[in-house]
Amino acid sequence: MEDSDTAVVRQVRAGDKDAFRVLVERHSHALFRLAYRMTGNEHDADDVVQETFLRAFRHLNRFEPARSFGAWLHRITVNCSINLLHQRPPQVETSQACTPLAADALDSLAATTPSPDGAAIHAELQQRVQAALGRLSAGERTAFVLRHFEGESIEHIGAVLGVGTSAAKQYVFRGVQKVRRELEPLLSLTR
Amino acid sequence: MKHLSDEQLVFHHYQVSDDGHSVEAHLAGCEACRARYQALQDVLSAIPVTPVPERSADYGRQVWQRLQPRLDECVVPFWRRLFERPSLPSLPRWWLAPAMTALVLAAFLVGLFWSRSRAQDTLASRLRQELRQELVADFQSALNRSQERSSNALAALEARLANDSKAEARQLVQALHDMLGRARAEDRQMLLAMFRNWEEDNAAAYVTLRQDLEELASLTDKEMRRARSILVELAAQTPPPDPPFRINK
Ligand SMILES: [Zn+2]
Repeated sequence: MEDSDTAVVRQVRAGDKDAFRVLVERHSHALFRLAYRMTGNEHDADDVVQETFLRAFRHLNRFEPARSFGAWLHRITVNCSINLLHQRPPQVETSQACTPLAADALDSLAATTPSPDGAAIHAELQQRVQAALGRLSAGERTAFVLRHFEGESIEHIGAVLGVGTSAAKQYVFRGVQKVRRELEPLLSLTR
Repeated sequence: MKHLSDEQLVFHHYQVSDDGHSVEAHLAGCEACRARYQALQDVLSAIPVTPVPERSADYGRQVWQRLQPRLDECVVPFWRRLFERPSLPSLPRWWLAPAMTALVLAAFLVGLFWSRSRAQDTLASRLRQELRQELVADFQSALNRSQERSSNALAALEARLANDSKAEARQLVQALHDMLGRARAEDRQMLLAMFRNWEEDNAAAYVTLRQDLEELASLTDKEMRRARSILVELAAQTPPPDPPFRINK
């Protein structure tokens, strides 16, 4: 039978550094997905996965065995992703700051093409979603990403955020409202 | 009839409703809410789902290969852990500086003791010599980092106090006092643990070390008192309130 995460953690804590490999192999794919959803960039996501495991190893003594090790790792991934997004050089900020201007682009798009081109709208939507995600708080972004894209349970989201289920639901709700506000004007153009 | 809230609609969409059945029943009988729900679903379903790039089946192994050499950096010497305490990440630690000075001194004295002990084996003594130098270098760099951090922390504190009202600044200072107090207790334990380590490893150097550590304890006590008086002084000097004060940043 496969050892539980907690059993492996115990082994690592007892000094068996190589046992950590089991945890890395077990959780890498899921962490990559989450990191990619959070950062929107493949290479960043790879780096976040590395950083997550490094931090987890370094602070393994802070993990409480009664909790879910997966949720603990996800939490570190979220933190690493947020840190990375904050460290981003200003050009990303600029592209986000430019999104209000995109409304002009849409006006001209709507004016020049009687039925707006689907691909253009799709691209614009994608950009809008990224921009909207960038404006969410860390909690909102995490909750929204985990629920909307990954279909995670509210309990899991709560565990990742370190909050109860009702607070986790509130994060999802606030995230949705903000994303919605960003997208609705664009969608009304297509109707 | 009371209509459904946006919140209820969002929760229903994501199937995290506590009252799914009553929401369902309401939607079945209320055209207005049904239209709002449809609008919500239209927006959420329009969000493009970018596929997550594929990672090969042996991705975990690749991650491990990249990670493994970096794990060795994580085996932190116990004295360096003094600076990486989990519970107090932002605490000003300027009072650790004299502690480190004393430890450098202790290492030096232990080194002296070792060189006096005339080890039969010259190789062993050379190893000890190297170890001592390493210790001293480590303590020294820890000391430098500590000093840098503490002056930054103090500057930040000063700036913050300057913007807060007096009463609230006092509250903040009280909170800091408590934190320092707790850190102090923790540090005593840490020092004791360090001492025990050293005692085990170097039973012969025990006496010298004990004196140094006692000296160290009194130094850090003095430093604690100094830190507190600086805090109190800062609190007393702060100008009248400016923006509303928030203790949680
Ligand atoms: Zn209704």
